[in-house]
Amino acid sequence: MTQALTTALTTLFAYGPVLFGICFLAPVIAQGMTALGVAPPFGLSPIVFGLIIGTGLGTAAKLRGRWI
Amino acid sequence: MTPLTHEQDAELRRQEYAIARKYMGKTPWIIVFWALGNFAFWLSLWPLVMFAGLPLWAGFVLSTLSITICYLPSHEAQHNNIAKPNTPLRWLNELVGHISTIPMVLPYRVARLTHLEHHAHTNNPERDPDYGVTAKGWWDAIRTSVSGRLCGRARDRYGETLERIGGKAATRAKLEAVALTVFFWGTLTALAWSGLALEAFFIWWLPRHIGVTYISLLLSWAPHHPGQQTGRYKDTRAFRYRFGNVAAMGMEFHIIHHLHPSIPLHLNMAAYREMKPLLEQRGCELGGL
Repeated sequence: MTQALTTALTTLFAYGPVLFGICFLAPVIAQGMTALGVAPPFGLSPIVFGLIIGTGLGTAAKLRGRWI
Repeated sequence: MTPLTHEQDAELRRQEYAIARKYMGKTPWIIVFWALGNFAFWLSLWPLVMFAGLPLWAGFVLSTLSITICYLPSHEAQHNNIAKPNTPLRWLNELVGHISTIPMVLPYRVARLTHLEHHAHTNNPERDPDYGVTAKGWWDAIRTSVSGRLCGRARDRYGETLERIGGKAATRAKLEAVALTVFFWGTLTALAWSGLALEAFFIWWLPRHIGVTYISLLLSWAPHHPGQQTGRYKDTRAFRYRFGNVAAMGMEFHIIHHLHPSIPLHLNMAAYREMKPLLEQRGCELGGL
């Protein structure tokens, strides 16, 4: 049980940047655009646009090992 | 500077400890009110922004201030300054320690174990958990702190320290760290997907990064700069902060804290003024204070 939990958490934290992009960055981008009155391109909804950007940035951060 | 004789050293030490003892031992209620009041204040910002019309920008500014000052009460608890073990108010010491750094997402047990190691090995490049903020100047220190967290450039010195300490205490600290981290990200995710992403970002995520950076700068970098000397009277300095001692959160006199950690933060300045002639005789770096 402890080992399974450790493995699950280790995997979860290893994908932290991707999860951050999907779970947090995406809605922040979407709600930020809405608050600023900025329309997403290509007729996308704000949350879909946020998910594309958030997942992309998170994946890039995971692969590069850094955000900036 | 001429080295002190054994007798001179012993006499200076006797005088120093006589002064220090005058400032120790009383319950620092101001720190307790600071801890509980600040935590309640930070919690209240959420409903104030969400339901009571407090502008988000104001919530951001107030949260940043609150998170920036939240570490120090826990710091007192880490040194048992609110109540020693096996005393009636011990629960209050532990309560202050645990809740004050929740906004900063810094688990108390991790903070305590690593901070005591910092005291034991100040400025040791391998064993001081806070050595990672060592930098040439103020801006470099800010860059080092931010890039360590956002750019993946930092060694996990706290994790390494816990591994080195080992045992039950370190294991409990790691579990507490996992629990608090999962709670933090779980809360941010729940808020963000409930339509409160900007509130989560501006009341917790961003203020936390600013607060951690400021604390690193004032508590870890400035008092130990340039981070090259070790030894009781050499590893910490007094320094003059351009915005004053209140803005420095009392850290101008951090040298007193390293010499006598049982003196509460709000008494460090008074103890410093009394102890200054002794520190000068020892050749301590006092920054013109």
